Parts: sequence; C-alpha cells; structure tokens
Amino acid sequence: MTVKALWATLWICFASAAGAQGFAGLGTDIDGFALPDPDTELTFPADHDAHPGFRIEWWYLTANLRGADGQDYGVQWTLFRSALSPGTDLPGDGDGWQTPQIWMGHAAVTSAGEHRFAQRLARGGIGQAGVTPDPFEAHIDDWVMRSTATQGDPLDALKLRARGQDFAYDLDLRAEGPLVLQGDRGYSVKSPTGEASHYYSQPFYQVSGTLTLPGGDVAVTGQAWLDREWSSQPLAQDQEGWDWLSLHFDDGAKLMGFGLRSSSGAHFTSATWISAAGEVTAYGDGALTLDPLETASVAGREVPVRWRVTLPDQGLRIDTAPLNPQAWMGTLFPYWEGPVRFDGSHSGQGYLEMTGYE
Amino acid sequence: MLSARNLFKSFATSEGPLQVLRGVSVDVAAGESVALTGESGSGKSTLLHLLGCLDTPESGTITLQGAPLHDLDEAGRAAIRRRHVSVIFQQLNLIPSLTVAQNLAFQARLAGVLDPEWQDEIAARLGLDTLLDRYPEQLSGGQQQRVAIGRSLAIRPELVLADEPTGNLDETTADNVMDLLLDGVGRSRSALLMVTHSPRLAARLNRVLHLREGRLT
Amino acid sequence: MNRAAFQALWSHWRRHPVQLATLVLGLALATALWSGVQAINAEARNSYDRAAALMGQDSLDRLEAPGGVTPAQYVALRRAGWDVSPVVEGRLATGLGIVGVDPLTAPPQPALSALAGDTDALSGFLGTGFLLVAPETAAQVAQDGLPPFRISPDVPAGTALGDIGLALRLLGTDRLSHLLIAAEQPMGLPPLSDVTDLRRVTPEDTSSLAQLTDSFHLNLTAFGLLSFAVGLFIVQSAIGLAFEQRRGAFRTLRALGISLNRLMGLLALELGAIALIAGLAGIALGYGIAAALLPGVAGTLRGLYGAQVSGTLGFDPLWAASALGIALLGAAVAGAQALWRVAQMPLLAPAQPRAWAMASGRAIRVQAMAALGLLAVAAVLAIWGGSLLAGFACLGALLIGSALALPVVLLWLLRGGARLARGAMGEWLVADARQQVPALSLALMALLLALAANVGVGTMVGSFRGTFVGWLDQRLASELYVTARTEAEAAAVRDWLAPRSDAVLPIWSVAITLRGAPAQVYGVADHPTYRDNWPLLSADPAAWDRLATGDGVLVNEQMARRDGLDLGDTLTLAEGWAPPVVGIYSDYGNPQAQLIAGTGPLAARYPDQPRLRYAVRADPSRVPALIDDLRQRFDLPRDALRDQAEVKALSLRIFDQTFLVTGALNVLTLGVAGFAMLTSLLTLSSLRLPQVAPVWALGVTPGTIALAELARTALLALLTWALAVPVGLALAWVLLAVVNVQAFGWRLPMMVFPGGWLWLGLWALLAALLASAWPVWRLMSMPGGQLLRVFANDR
Ligand SMILES: Nc1ncnc2c1ncn2[C@@H]1O[C@H](COP(=O)(O)OP(=O)(O)OP(=O)(O)O)[C@@H](O)[C@H]1O
Ligand SMILES: [Mg+2]
Repeated sequence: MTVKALWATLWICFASAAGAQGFAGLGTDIDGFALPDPDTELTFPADHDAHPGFRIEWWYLTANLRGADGQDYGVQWTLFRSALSPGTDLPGDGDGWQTPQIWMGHAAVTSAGEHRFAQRLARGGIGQAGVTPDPFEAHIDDWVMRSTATQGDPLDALKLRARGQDFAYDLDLRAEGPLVLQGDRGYSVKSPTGEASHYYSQPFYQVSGTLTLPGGDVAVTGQAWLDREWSSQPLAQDQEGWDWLSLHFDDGAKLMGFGLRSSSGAHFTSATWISAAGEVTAYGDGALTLDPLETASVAGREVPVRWRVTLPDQGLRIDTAPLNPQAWMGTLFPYWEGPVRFDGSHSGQGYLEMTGYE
Repeated sequence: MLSARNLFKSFATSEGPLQVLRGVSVDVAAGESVALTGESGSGKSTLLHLLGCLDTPESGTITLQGAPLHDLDEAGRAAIRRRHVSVIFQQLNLIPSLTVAQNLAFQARLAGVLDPEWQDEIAARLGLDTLLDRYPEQLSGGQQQRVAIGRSLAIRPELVLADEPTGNLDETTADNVMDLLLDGVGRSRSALLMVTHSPRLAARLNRVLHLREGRLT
Repeated sequence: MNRAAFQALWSHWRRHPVQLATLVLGLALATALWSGVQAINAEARNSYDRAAALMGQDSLDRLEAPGGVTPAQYVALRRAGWDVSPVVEGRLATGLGIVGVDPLTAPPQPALSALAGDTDALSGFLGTGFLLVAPETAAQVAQDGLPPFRISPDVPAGTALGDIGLALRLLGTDRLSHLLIAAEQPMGLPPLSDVTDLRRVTPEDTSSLAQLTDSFHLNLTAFGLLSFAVGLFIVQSAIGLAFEQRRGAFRTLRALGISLNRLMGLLALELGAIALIAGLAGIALGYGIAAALLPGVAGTLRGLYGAQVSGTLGFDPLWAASALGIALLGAAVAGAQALWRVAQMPLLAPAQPRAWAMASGRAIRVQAMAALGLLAVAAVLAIWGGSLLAGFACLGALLIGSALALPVVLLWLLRGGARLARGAMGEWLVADARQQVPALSLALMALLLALAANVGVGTMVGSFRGTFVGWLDQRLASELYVTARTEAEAAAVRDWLAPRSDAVLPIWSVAITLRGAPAQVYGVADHPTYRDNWPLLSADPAAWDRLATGDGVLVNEQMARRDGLDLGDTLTLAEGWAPPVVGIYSDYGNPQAQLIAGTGPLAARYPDQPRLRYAVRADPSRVPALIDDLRQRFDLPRDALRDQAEVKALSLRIFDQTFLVTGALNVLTLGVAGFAMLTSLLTLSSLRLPQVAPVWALGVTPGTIALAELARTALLALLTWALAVPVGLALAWVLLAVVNVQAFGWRLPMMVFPGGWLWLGLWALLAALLASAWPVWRLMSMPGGQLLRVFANDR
C-alpha cells in the first residue's frame, strides 16, 4: 500500500525533528512547526480542539468492556492528525483539498478469540475528517466521538461510533472523574534529551452501549480511558518504539505508564499515578519498570505480550496478561494494541500498546 | 554477291577458348542456292550467324554486294537483318503475340518495304490463306515453318539463310516445306544458304559445302 | 537418399539467388506489414486497457451526475460510512489528460506504485504536489510549465496523474468527475439511495475507448491484410517460377525412384525452411515498421478519439510466434498451387514450361462475371447496408471486384488499342502487352489496389481537411482567446477587456451524462459572432433566439446521428429543464456528444461552474497590442492567450498529425505493389526470351527492344492507374458517406483533387519503370549468343 509510506514519512520526520533541538528555544522546528512548551497552560475546552501548528496529535480512546454474553471485550477508537506542513487548513478554510492536514482513524473490537480492526484515511479541509470544538466532535467519515455533555466539560459525556467490514459499535461514555494532566501540568517529557508532548487524559469513563458483530448485537458495559496528546517531536532519534499501558485498578485508582525503547539500550520510562479521586502523582525516568515476561509470535514477529510492571513508590508489582495475544493492528504503521488483565500486588484491567516491533 | 573471307570464330568455355571457325571463306552468287553440311557441333550455325549479321567474327571479312558487313555496329547489323538478309531457324521463328498475318508482314513493315500484292502471293503460294488470323502456338510445326518462310521472303531479301528449317519436321512435311522454300526463293530471286544434315535435301540445291574442323571443304 | 534429393532440389536456389531473395523478401514483407499492424493494434489495445484500469475504472462501480459531483456530495457519502473515492478527469488546452485521485481513499492500483516505498514521495504528492506521468509523456509535461513530475510507467501515456487537489486546480474546476465505490464496504450501511442522488453506474465490459477506436483498428487491419495479400502475390509468382524451372529436375528425380509423396514432402520441407527464414526476417522488419509507425498511430488516435496510446513498442513473444505462423501459412497458401501442379504432373510429360499465354476466353468471362457480381454487392451494401461492418464489407467487395475486373478491362482496352496502334513495332507492343496481362495480372491487381487505396484515402483525407479548414474559419470567428487561472482573474480580465474590445464572450461548459453517455454542454452568448458564423446543418429559423431564452439547444452531428435526434426532440439537460433540439451543427474531429445552450439559461441551472475562458472580438490589427497588454497587466502565461491564427495553426497541426499514418501506409502499400511488379517482371524476363529473340533476329536493335519493353510496362501501369482513379473515387465515397458516418458520426462532402491523381500517375509510372528497369537491363545486357541459343536450343 502506498499510504503506508506517508505514515512512515511522518514518523521519520519526527525523528529528524528531534535532531533540530537548536531551534527549540524559538518554539518552532526547522519546518516551522510549533514545539511543546513547558510553560504552556492547558485550557479546556479549547485544548480539546486540534492544534494544527503542531505536527501530530491524537484522540485516543480505549475501553475494557463486559458483554451481556459474559465475554470480555476491548474497544479502540483513535483519530490521528498529522500535518505535512504547519497550517490552519481546518474545516471552513478556503482551498479545502489542498490542506496539509491528514487524518487517520483506527478502530478495533477485541475479544478473546477475535481481533477486528479497521482504518480510515482522509484529508482535512473538506469536512471528511476533523475536530470541531463547540459542540465538540472528532470524526473521520462516519466514525465520531461527539460530546453529549449538557454541562461541565464537553468530554464529560461522549457518543462513540465506528465501523469496519466485520464490526461496528455505538457506545455512550460518562466521565466519573476529572481530566488528568500528565507529566508536568500536561507537559510530558519523552526522552532524556528533552523531547516532549502536551498530554492529558480522561481515565474515568463508564461505558454502556452495543457492539455489532457478525454473530449479532452484544450489549456491553465497562470502563474507558481517553488520551489526548500533541507534539511535533515525540521521539528521540535513537528511540525505536514504546510500550504503553493504561490501567484501571479494581479500587478505582489508575496508572498511565510507558517505556521508550532506545537502540542505545537505556530505556526511558515515565508514569502517572492517578488516585480514585483524580489526584495525580507524576514519576520521571526510572521510577517505573517494565519487563517482558513472555513473547508471542504475532503477525510474523516476536512481541512481548506479558509484562511485569513495578512502581515501588506505590508498592506496585503486577504481571499483565492479554485478553487476546493476537491483538495486532495491521494498519499502515502496524502495532499491537489490546485489552489486558493483571494480578499481583494489585488487580484490574487496562490496555497495552506496543509499537516499533519489526 | 555475298563473299566471306578467312572467318575466324571461337567461344569462351569453361575448358578454355573453343576455336570453331578457322579461316572459312565462302561465296554465294545472286539467286544461287547452297547447302551447308557438317557434323553436329562443326560450326554450321555459327557460320550462318556470322553471315546473317547475328554475330560478329573475330577476324575475316564479309561483304554483301561489295559492302562490308563485318565491322558494322549493332544498329548497322540490325539494318542488314531487317532489309537484306532473312534468317529462318529450326524453330521459334515467329513472334508469339502476333497473328500469322501480322507475322508475315512484320519484317516487311519494319523495313518499310511492304508490298501487299507480293504479300498475298506469298500467302497463297504457301497455303496460309486460311491461317492468317491464328496465333503461332495454334499452328503445327510445318505450318509455323511455312509462315517463317513467308515472312523471310516478304522483304525480297538478297539472301535467305536457313538453319535446318525442316529439322523438326517429318520427311513428307519436310519435302513439302522444302518445295515451297525453293519455289519462294526462286520467285523473290533471293539466294539461299541452307544448313542441313540431309544429303537428300542438300542434293536439291545448286551446290553443297562441307564444314569440317573449322574449314569448308 | 533424402539428403541427395534435397541437395538436388536446393541447388536450384544456388543457381538462382535472385529468385530466392525475391521469395524470402516477398514473404518477409507480407509478414512484416501484417504483423507490424498487429503489433500496433496490440499496443494500442494495451494502452486502452491501462487507461481503463487506471483508478479501477474498468472494474469498480461509480457514482456520477450530470455536471459532475460536488465535494459536498462526496463528503456526505463518506460521512454516511460509504467507502467511495473521488476522481477528477479532464484535459488541458494543450491536450494533456489530467487525472486527479485521492491516494488516501483510492483503491490500490499500479499507477500509484511510484509512491510506494518512497517515504517523501507521498507527502510530496499530497503536499506541494507533483504529477506522475509515463516516460513518453514527460516531454509534454515539462514543456507545459506544469508542476514538477515523476515517472511512473503504469500511468497511461498522455495522462498526468496527480493529487485530486492539484488536478482540480489545474483543470480550473471544483467538480469531481465521479466517485469510485470500493468493492468491500463496511457493515450495516444505509442504502446508497438514502444517502445520495448520484447515479450508480456499473462499468461496461469493454472499455468505451476500445469500442470507439475499433473502426480505426479495423482500418489498420484492412491495410495490413491488403499488404499481406500483395506480398503473397510476390511469393506466389516466385514459387511458381521456381517450380516451373525445376520441372525437369522433378521428372529426373522421380525417374530415379523418388516417390511422388517423398518429392512433395521434400518440396514442402524446402518451402517451410524458406518460410521460417522469411518469417524471422519478417518479424524483425515488422517490429521495425511498427516501431516507426507507432508514434504516428498514437497521434492519430489522440487526434481522432482523444485516446492515449503509448508511443513506444514492447516486444511480445506471442506476437512473434503468431507472425511466424502467418509466414508459414502465407507460404502454404502461395505454394499450394505449385505443389498441386507437381502432384498432377505425369511422370513422362515433356518438361515444357507452362505457356504464359493468353487466358482463355472462358476464364476471362468467368472472371468478368465474378467481378460484376462483387461490384453489384458493393453497390447494394453502399446503399442499403447500415452498419460499420457493412461499410467495410462494401469496401472489400469494391476492391476485390475491381481487382478481378482489371485484367478483363485491360484486355478489352488493349484490343481496342491494337486498332489504334501504328507501325509494326506499335502493333507488336500492344499485342505483346495483351499477352502479358494474364501473367502480370496479379502484380497489376496489387498496383490497382495500392493506387485505388491511395486515391481513395487521399480523397477522404483531402475532403476532410478541406471541410475542416472551412469549418475552422467559420467556427473560429473570434480574434482572440483568453484563459484565466481563477474566477477572480477572469472577472478582472473581462472588466479590463470590455472597453477595449467589441465583445467578450465566455466559453464555458458543463459535463453532463445524457442518455447514458458523457456529453459536454457549452454555454454561448447571444451574439452575432455565433449567429453569423456557426455552421448549422439544419436548424429551426429562430434557433438562436430560442437558445437565448432557454427554449432550445443545439446538438452536434455525432450526437444527432448516434441518438437519432431530430429538430424538436427534447433533451433533459438538468432537472426540470428539457429544451427541444433547435439545430444540428457539424463538429468534426470530436468523438463525443456536444450540445450548445444559451449561456444565460445554462448558467441558471449550473451556477457554480467556473468561467475561465473567453473569446474576444476585436479589430484584428489591434490584437497583438491587446495580447501584449493583457500579458503584462495580468502576468498571464504564454498559452493563456491565443490569437485566431495560432489556434487555427494548432488545429491544423493536430489534424495533419492525425493522418500521418495513413500517408505512411499508403506509401508502403505502393512500395509493396511496386515490388510485386518487379518480381513478376523478373519472373517473366527469363520467359520472354522466345518473345524477344525473333524480333531481334528480324532486325530490331536491342535498344529499341528495351524501349519497347519499358513502354509496355508503362502502358500497363498507366492503364491500371487510369482504372484505379474511378475505383479510388468510389472507395473515397464509401469511406466518406458510409464508413465515416458509421464510425465517427459525421458525413463529409467529397472534394476531388485531380492534381493529386496526376502526381500519383507519375508515381505509378515511376514505380513501373523502376520495376521493369532491372529485368529489361538483364534481358538486354545478355550476350547476343544467349538470344541466338533460343533458336538453337533443342527443347
Ligand atoms: N554461345 C556459345 N558459347 C560457347 N560455345 C558455343 C556457343 N555457340 C556454339 N558453341 C559451340 O560451338 C560449336 C559449334 O556450334 P554450332 O551450333 O555452330 O554447331 P552446329 O554445326 O550448328 O551443330 P548442329 O548440327 O548440332 O546444329 C559447338 O561445339 C558449340 O558447343
Ligand atoms: Mg546448328
């Protein structure tokens, strides 16, 4: 496929942008993109909207669901935005077709036996894909994440829809906690050399809705987690990929943790502990450890599907297990994304994402 | 009238030059008829061709009524053939695309000496009246030779050269054609030099020449 | 034994190398012309398939609407979940085809493979933008001052593939041509009819381009077949002669105990070996011919049909194999008669050469009847046949009938001529010519066909050109043509020109689908420029008034003929607008349906169609100054401004390019006919000794005989030419009045060009003299002894 190359390009662009640190002080990189700034104060609902001055951005939702049929399900809904050049060609602007904004949607429904996924690509500028702040809606084609909140933050209540050739879902989400700023007030450092992104989450969703599968409709309920992140340079040059976790503990606390794998051997980790009430403790490099326990052969490559996760500061020592080890997203840039359960010092469920396994 | 002196002729062959005529001299008087005999390959046809301006000798002279023929160019020789010397071959004398009538008149018209009365007389004498509209390929061998005789006499040539004119014919027909030839030659007051293998036919002429080893005896 | 016998047979060719060369060359030529044409056709069909396969147009259903698809309609479908992908197609003024696609939603396809694996390529394609073109289109794109380009061999020739945004901008439109519907759709979608008004169209089995160009290829094939037949004449005469001359050898071989079957087998083997060699030579020659002609063919197809055909030729082993097959088949056909005669030859028959004598009266009568019958069939087909196939059948019957009639008519003419002939030599010349007719008739037929094709095609092209020039003069009434880049610029140009010219008339059009086929509706202003100059074939008296009020539309001849439209028939041009046809106009060279409506009424139905082109009426003397001023003021690119003369020159150049191939094929067939003549005369020359020798013996100089020989060939060639002219005119009439109407949808008035015939006559004469020069020279340069031998040779 040809568009594959596009996304490869984008990731390569990030890598090369990381080499342009000299311009960081000016707030833009060589191509004129804005750079994350630790002094930026995130404001809502304004920052729910797209940030076209940045190179890349996403609206990333994962849900751990239990069906009326007694089975566990995982659902993913993701909208990526990627800019070929900094610009503001968002819906409503003049020459729509020649926008630099490219959008990509990924959706998946995972059960123990089946991992179904779909992908959509679109350019901005013509209304096929994009984000509108008021009322909040992120969409690509007929896939939508739309605010149904009548008061408070627009993300407090969402309608979520997507469909592929062998699945569809229609979910209602209600947040039972506040928005959470990751890292330092939403400034999330991604490498020892200082590459960073703006990053906040809404990890407190309760979900209900319907999955439409070839075998029929399944009513589901469960938990979901939304990540919002944008940057122009999230990876350092020697970083090969990441392993990322969003975990719901049975006691209502949450953990976001990731490790960036470096070709030089030194991995960079970061974590955010979120109490059931929404109080945040951010941990820098080294506090969290991620150790692969077992690999599985997925799409012709070895991928670590079980992990030992420790965060000594919170007394955390858990082993994760995937609902479906074959939760491979065979999309333009392929990665592993699927629901997990964990046991150990704590128990609960969550989502695991792993990229960069060639 | 015709006088040839010391004619030499050779052909180039793969085995080297072949000397056919080695100093042939011959005289033919006006109105005289002469037979030329000799073994096959002895050079009879070759000699006839030289005398008929169809070929040129290597050396020696030929004169017709005192005019030299041996050093004429192609056009000059063609003129002699057209007007003064007629040749009758053993076969294929006629132009296939022309009718008998046209063949009969062809040479005379070429030479510009067409005499319709004489033409009619020849046709009548040779018994060709009923064949005038036929094409040569529609004639028998004897008929063809009769047309050839008629055509050659049409210009009232000084000399008729005939190369085995009856060689392809059976004896009766040959005699008949011979009669007509001698009669015709007499009427047009032409001399005749005829190559023949037949002593019987040779005997009917005034004189017999024999060619052997390139010389006349 | 086989070996010895074969050697004995083969020794003939060693002694007659010219005969062998003739045979091989004739067969090679026949194979080359036929397979060359096949190669061209195959290449063209290949290009159509590539064009059809571009953007899945050959397999995927599409959505379309008259006037095009709006981006809003596209987005509405996507937002309803339907996986559709937009395509825009169009053509720049320079003739370059533009196809715009959205690589983000497009179905996978080879044309975009240039972007695969090249990380910068796709973002460049989507971003600053570049075009993908076939190698042979590169020069065209470079010249046009277009965006940068990259080479992708999978893009059809003459087309540039770009991102949809870039393509829309280049084409100056905001309408999409159609949407492709992906084969696999997401589950649970609402029905298409609930989501959109667009019409779903399933692609036809065969590409429309292939259908459209079928007639052209049939034409080429006919030319190829003609050349092949002419080539076989050569082969036939060479084989015939070789067999005649070897009768003695055959008889001896058989007397030596070689069975007839074995002899036939050996001869067939020999012929097969020769055919194999000739076939290989023919493949090389055919490839060369095809490669040389292909650019011209591509030009023709582009000019006539807008079809894009690659100008470079690939080598297909299958094609080579079929060419070899054709060579063997041709040799078999040409040799069958000779082999048959060998089989019939009694062992003891005298080895006498067949008399190349007069054809018998009976044979001539049969041939005359056959010719008359065929000509009658041609006449019937011309008058009552109503299809392209009938048109070509009519052409075939006309040509074959004429060819068969030729010897009959020639004999008849020569018989009359014999009466007019003066002098013994004159008589002989005519009589001999008559006798030669049967032997030369195949070669003369070939010459007749070549000459008639020349006259016919020449008349057709000439008539076409003459009509086209007159029509251009009328239709290009405006002095200046301006193309703006944007609507805003167009408005500014219009305002600036208004006080400086007599009139500024918009030229704009809407692409719609009418009766299931694409059609272009042009909006024209109500102005004397059109009233006075536009050539109408038939029209309502108030046509232009009714056009202006929207109560009428003009259609081009092609559409009128194709759809059987007449004045008064109504056409639905937009929802709720179905004006009657009030006029039919000629529109030469356009393969598509075209209509003309009043600009006001059309604009009311299609308000957002951009209007970027204008025709400007002004005093011709002021045009150069206007051009300079316009260019400076608006910084317009070179080709945005064209004056009348330039457009005319451009049109004529395209036209002439269009018929280049026809000219080349004409010359080739004439050449082959000349060669057929040469071989026939060569064959005859050795058999002519008995004809010529008596004449020489009777006192005609060789020079005179040579002149007579030349004069006779010239006479036959000139008579053939004289007969070819009426046949050619009949051919032209069939082409113009039958084939053209069926193939292109327009009828052309026939114009005759007697000057051209005279030239052709000279060429025919020259060809005949050249063809006879060598045989005559051979005959005359023979030593005198050779002629004498005729008389001495005992056969
Ligand atoms: N053009 C020629 N080239 C080579 N040799 C020739 C040529 N013409 C004749 N000869 C040879 O010259 C010799 C004389 O030939 P010519 O035809 O004069 O013989 P002829 O006496 O007429 O024989 P016949 O009685 O068989 O007709 C023969 O050996 C012949 O082979
Ligand atoms: Mg002899």
